[in-house]
Amino acid sequence: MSEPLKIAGKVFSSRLMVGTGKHRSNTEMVESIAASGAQIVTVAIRRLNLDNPKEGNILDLFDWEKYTILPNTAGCKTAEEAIFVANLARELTGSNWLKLEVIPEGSHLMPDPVGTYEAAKHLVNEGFTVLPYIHADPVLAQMLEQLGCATVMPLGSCIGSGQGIQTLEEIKLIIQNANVPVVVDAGLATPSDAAIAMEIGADAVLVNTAIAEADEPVLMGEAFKLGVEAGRKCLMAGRIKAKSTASASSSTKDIVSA
Amino acid sequence: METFANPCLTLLTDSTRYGELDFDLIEGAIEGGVDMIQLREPAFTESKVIKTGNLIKEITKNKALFIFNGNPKIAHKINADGVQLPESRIDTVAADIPKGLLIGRSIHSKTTALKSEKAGTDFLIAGTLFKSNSHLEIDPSGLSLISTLCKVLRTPILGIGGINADNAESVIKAGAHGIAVISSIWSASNPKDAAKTLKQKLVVN
Amino acid sequence: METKTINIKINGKNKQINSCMTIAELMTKLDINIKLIAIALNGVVIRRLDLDKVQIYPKDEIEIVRAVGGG
Repeated sequence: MSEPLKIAGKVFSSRLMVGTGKHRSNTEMVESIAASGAQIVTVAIRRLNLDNPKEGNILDLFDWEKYTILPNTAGCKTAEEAIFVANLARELTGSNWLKLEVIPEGSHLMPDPVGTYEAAKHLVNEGFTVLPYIHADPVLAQMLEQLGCATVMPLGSCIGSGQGIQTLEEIKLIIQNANVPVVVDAGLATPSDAAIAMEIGADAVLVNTAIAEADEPVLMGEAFKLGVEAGRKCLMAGRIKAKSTASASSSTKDIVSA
Repeated sequence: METFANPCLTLLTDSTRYGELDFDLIEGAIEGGVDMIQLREPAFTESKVIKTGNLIKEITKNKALFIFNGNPKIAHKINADGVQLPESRIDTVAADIPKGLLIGRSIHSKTTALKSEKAGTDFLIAGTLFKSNSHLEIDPSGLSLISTLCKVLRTPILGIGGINADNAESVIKAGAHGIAVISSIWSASNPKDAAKTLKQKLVVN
Repeated sequence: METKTINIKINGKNKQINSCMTIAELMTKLDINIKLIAIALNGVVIRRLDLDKVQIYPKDEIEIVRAVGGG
C-alpha cells in the first residue's frame, strides 16, 4: 500500500494540490476542487476592496477543517515584498504554511532564484513552513532543502502556459537528490502530464489553470485526480524497462504451421 | 522637571557590578551629555534608596532627568522626575501612578510595547539589543525590535543592551529616540569623555 | 464637540479619518470583518488581538488584505 504524502508533519491522502485562481465562478471553483480530491488549496493575498468591504470572501467558500490552506506570495517581485506578504498571510490564515513565489517579470513569470533563496532563509528562520516555487534547478533545490524548506516546487513549464513538462530531466535530478517532497508545479495541461510527473517519482503536483480554464472544470478536476493516482500507482507497481528490440507477447513455442 | 531630551542619553546605575555609587562620576557624565539618570538598585533598602535618591536629585536638578527604577510610590517619595516600570508591570496604568511622574516602561517584546501606549507611557526602553554585560543570559533582539516599534508607536523609544560608541549610531538610525547605557560609561577610563562621545554618536544627520 | 480629523493612507489611497482611533475602531467604522483580513501599519503586521491597542496617527499607512483566488 503506497505511503501517504507527508509535508511538515502533516499527512495527506491526495497528491494533487490545486489553485483557486482563474475560475469562472465560485461554484465551478468549489465543485472542481471537490472533484479533484485535493486537500491542499492555494490562495493569493490582495488588498481589500474598500468600496465594497463586505463582498464575497474566498475564505467563506471552503471548509478549512477539510482543506489545508496554502497562501502564496504571487505578485511579489522581491524578497522583501514576499516576506511582508508572508507575514500578512500568516496573520490572515492562522497558518505557517506558505507557497513562496518571488517573480519579478510579468511575461514569463519565471521565479527569481536569488530572491527566493533570501526570502526562504528569512522565513524559515521566522518559523514559516516554506514551499518554494522554483525553476527546475537541482542545485537551487538542494540549497533550499538545506535551508529547511518543507518541499521544493520545480516548474513543469511557465505558469498557465499549458506546455506540460518541459523540464523532465531536471526534475528527475531534483527527485534523485531530494529528501523533502518534490511537488511539480506550473504549466501542467493534462492528467497525463500529471501522471508523468508522478511516474518519475514526484511526490505531488500542483495544478490551477488546467482545471480552472478547462471547458468542463469539474470533469477535469476528476480527470486530474485519476491521472495523479494512476501515475503514483505506476511508480509503485514498477514499470517495464524500455528495450531497443521487440519481445513477443505471445509464446513462441508450438506455433501452428499451415 | 526637565523636558525629555532629543536625542536622549540615559545612564543606569549598577552598584552590584561597579561598586558603591560614584556621585562624581555621575556628575561628570551629566556634564559630558547624559540627559537621564536611572537609579536601578533592586538590592537597596528603602532607606538607602531615599538617601541615594536625594543625592542624585541634587546632582541632576535642572540638568538631567532623574528616574527611579522600581516602586512608583518610592519614586514619588524621593522626588524623582519619573518611574521606570519593568515589563511585568504592564498592567500598572497611569491612573495607578502618582501624578506628575514621567512613566518609563522596559519592554522586550512587540506585544507588550503595543499595550504600553494604552496603559500610559512617556517613554520606552527596549532591549536587549546587543550582547550585554548585565544580561549575559539574554539572547539579543537586535535592531529589528526598534525599527518595528518606531513604525507603529509614537512614544519615544530608547535602546538598551550592549550599546557602545561603535553601535550607538545604528540604534538611532533604526529609529530610536536615544540610548540607555551602563558599562560604556561606568567602566570607561574617562566616563565624562565616554558620555561626550556617545552623545555625539546620537546626533545623526 | 468637534472631532479632529487626520490624513492617512489606506491601501494606497488618501483617507481622512477621526483622530485618536485605534485600528480596531477604524475597522468597525469601515464595516470590515477583522476575521477575514490582515492588517499592516507602516509596514508592520499587527496581530488581531493587538488591533485595539494600536493607535493611528497622521500620515500612517495602513494595508488591509484578504485572501483571493490564486495558484
